[in-house]
Amino acid sequence: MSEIFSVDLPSQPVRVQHGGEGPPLLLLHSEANTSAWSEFHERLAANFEVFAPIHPGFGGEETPDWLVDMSDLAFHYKDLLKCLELDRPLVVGTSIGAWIASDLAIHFSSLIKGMVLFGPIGLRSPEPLPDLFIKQLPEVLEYLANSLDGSQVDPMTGDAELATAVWTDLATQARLMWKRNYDPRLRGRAHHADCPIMVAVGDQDRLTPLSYAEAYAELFDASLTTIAGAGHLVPLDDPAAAAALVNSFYLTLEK
Amino acid sequence: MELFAFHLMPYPNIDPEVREKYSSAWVVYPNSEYDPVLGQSLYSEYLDQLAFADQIGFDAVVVNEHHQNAYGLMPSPNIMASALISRTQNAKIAILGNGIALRDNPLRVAEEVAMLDVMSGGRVLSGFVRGIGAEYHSMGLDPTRSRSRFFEAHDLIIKAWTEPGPFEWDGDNFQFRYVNVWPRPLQQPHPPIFVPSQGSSETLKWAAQHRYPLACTFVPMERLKQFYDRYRQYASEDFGYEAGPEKFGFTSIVYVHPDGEEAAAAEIEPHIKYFKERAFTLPLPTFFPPGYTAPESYKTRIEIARELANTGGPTLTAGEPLIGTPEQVGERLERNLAACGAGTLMAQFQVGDMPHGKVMRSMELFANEVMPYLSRDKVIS
Repeated sequence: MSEIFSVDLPSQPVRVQHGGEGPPLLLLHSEANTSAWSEFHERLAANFEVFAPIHPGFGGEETPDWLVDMSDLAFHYKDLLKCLELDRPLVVGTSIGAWIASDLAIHFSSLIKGMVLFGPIGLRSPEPLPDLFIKQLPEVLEYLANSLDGSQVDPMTGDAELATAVWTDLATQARLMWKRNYDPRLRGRAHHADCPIMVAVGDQDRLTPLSYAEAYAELFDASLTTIAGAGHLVPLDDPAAAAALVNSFYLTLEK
Repeated sequence: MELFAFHLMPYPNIDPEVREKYSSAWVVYPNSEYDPVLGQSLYSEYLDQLAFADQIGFDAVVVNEHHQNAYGLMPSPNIMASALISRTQNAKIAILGNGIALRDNPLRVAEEVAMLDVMSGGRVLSGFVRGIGAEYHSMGLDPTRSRSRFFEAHDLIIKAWTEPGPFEWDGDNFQFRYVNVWPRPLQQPHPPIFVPSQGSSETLKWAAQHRYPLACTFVPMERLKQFYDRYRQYASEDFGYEAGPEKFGFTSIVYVHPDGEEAAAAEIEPHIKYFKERAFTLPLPTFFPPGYTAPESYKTRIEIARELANTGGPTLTAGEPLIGTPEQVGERLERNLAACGAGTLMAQFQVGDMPHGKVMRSMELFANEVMPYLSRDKVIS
């Protein structure tokens, strides 16, 4: 069970899904209309006080003018941490949420205790990654997770509302990733993310190859875990394993 | 009425077996399929067709901008306009339009169109477009910035044409320390602006505000009426003027045949089929990439896509088909214009893979047996 409340930040108001008790955990959601409170949130809430904000320009909202690149979101979430008085939370991000988490840690690593990155993106890949922006929406979902039903968002035969919601999320992603689906400065800045980091990927990831996750982990001096049977959005495909991983990672921080 | 000769300059040899492997003839259809030797003769024939339109008394010849596709071979409409200057005498050269949001430097458009206007002795009609979604894939441009870039590029170009330079421009998308465009256009204050539109409320209102004529491509009659009514409503209610027929133009395929409607239809049908199935097909994510419109407009697009799927694809004819004998075409043409209150027909004689001889025969018949009977009062000054 969760509640939703709204916080006014200097950038814009933000909706935050909130539930559970325990140490604070900031959960940064993935793309394509996957921000809703889910089994993964519920499982985390058994051990943590979970704060799961909706990113600006996601969840049905049009891309805001002020959003230019990823660093805008790092500052946006720095303001959120301050506003909610979260004391060095664990940050968990998936896909684009993991990229945001990485940028947050690069700029403000003293404010966070550690990070778990599921299927992180944002790094330049030696091989071109699939261009989700030119693909039909059902195919986009198939690239992201095994557990998502692409047929629901087929514009011709599916639910027009749902299709528009996915498309609207993709629009904000386009603002951040259209020209480059990575940040060329990430390589030179990664060492500023001075906190314990774990990268976890599904072994059925269709968006980024394992070598990409390995490079990410190496760059951020992070451990790397592979989850069998999961696609790119690990917490959607295997919420139990993903939540267990977060728990065990947190225990290593407490030692 | 005004008669414009509309052309897409399509590539006529799209191999169905190759085409089958790709989702579209846009963006991803490989350019190894383009034969430049054939290309040379195509350009020559297509320019001849437009030059002929000038000779038979068309008010304007129309060129347009599309990138990386086999649908239309005019990535630079201004190069085509330049070629048409020396091949035409009287017709206006309507560039419908320059994709001003696609340029990293919109002043290049201000310069090029001013050059064309001066070189042609003031015969340029200057359309401005955002560019359809496919162009954003092809040009590597963030579609979420498209609307903002379009409006700012427009303001910059108009100011560059109308206010003395040098001046500084410091906008959200474009910044220039010195705006000082040489040459200036011949027509004062600037060449007439046209807005090719797919009918979004935002564009209709903006065009009505600036009193720019709408040029609609492949829009069925029912939607044309809606668009024009909305424009007329904005004009009278928000901007205090009555929008007359000079504000409205639309495309239709025209094919004239001496033996009547059935013979005409039988002859043009394969070319329409080629055009629709091989050249025109645009998957929704190519046509409307994420962020190209507001979410509400995307939902409308889904509705339109579903409608089109049920009705067999895009409408190339608005209203009664202009396919038939000279009498039929002439009468229907006037009825179609009257039905939506438009003053300009943009007639498309060449369709898909229609060969040169066929196009020219239809144009000749139109010239000899349709045009003399049309009421040709000028509606655009």
